[in-house]
Amino acid sequence: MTPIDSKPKPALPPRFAAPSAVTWIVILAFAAFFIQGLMSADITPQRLWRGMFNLWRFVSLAFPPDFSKLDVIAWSMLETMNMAVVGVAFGVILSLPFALLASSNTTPHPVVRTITRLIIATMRTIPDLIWALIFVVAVGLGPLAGILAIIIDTIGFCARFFSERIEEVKPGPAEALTSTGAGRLSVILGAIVPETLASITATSLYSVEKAIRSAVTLGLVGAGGIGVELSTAMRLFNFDEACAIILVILVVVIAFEQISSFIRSKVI
Amino acid sequence: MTAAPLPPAIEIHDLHKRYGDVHVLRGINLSVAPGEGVVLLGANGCGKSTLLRCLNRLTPHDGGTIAILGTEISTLKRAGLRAVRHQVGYVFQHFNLVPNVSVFQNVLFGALGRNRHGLLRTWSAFASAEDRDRAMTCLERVGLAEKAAARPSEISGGQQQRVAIARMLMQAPSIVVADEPIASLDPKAGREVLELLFRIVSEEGLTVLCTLHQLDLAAEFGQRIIGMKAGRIVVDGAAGDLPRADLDDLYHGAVRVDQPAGTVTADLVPA
Repeated sequence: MTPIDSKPKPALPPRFAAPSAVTWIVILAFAAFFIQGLMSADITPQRLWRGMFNLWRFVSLAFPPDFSKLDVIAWSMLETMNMAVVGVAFGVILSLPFALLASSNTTPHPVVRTITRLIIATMRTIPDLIWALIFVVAVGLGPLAGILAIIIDTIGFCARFFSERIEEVKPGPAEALTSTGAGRLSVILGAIVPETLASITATSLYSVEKAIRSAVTLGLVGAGGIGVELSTAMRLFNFDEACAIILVILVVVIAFEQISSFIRSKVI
Repeated sequence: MTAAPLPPAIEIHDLHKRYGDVHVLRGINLSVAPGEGVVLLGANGCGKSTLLRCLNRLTPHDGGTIAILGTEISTLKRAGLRAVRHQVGYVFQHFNLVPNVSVFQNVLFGALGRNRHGLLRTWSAFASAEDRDRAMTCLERVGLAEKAAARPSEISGGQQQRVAIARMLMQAPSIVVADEPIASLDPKAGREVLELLFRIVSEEGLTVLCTLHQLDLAAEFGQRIIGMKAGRIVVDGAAGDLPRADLDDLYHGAVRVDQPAGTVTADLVPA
């Protein structure tokens, strides 16, 4: 038996380890960027004070909210919901082929997969407001531009999540159907798609919630819906009307989210 | 057995398959006559599953030839390959039923290869009355008619494998390939499933190639036993004639294909 202290005792791990050079560079770069950002925002006590005063003025003018144009507000809210529902419906339907082409286990060719993933990433990366601006140029002011923007935005979002789910599907059932002599499309629709349906439904419902929120703001750039009313009221300093619009948006969006999460809890 | 008019059900000549550096199938030669019941034995990792997957090109092989009912499969185009696959019914270790659809629909899927319109005519709502009746008959034959509306997750493992057998029946193949069909089941359910499988195979007069891990069951159900070791066939004979020692030897020594010679069972020696 060798005595325990015959071997040199290994050193205790230090309490603090020096960060690596890369960590230092990242920290310094972030700090520099942060300070530069703060300075360019031009924050002075004077401006903050004035801002608080203006905010108070806005709130006192906004309350009580003016619901006298409730019919107009209701109609444009309906238009917003129409945009969201129509856009999401087309978006979800179109997402499915995109997702199938973009998933490693269903794509006809790896090159197709790469190209499709690139297209989906582009749709997702460009914000919906910018798509709306582009479509307003293409098809003019109004809900059609909003619908198109939501379709693109939904594909960018849904196709990615659908495809992740499709790639998780176990290969066994698909192999079993392949072994019966079935064609590729039958195998995909018979063995792979049914397994993803619950997840696809949940994702689709979530994208309805997302689309309602974005449809509200799309009106700000002229793509139809309640956003048009809101931006007009703000520009005309009709803050009480704007407040009414915001309250209606709040109620509708919350109601939609509640319904959607209720259905999702039933599906999953 | 002289001058058989039929081509062999399965005829394999010098079959090779590699996964990267691992030489899985190292020159397999095998001929199975129509109607023959063959049990394939071998330790885990000896290449059995790969061999079975090569038979319908679920896994493409690298060298050698495989002929199913006289048709060489390695050069087949899509339609030809599908026609051959239709002749070979598979039963898998993990059942491979489609979850989220009913047991009945899973059986109907067996007809996928036969229908020209694929899924369109195999989906329960659009399937022909004849196919729907046939699927129900298949379920009756495996004793699960009353479970037709259930989901696969709602029935036991043994029942799921019986549904998989019903799907195979629906496919109406002439060859059955079963890859460890009872390895996921307890001994009692396993024996029931195996009895059902071999009863159906003999009633239909099918050729069967089935891998098993239980030597007793192999001797009981197989007419002919083939033993694989490290990617080669080392035992082949009528079930009654093979000495037990030969079969036991399949599980000792260098059995795996991913184990270089010389490191025999090194993992079992305490370090």
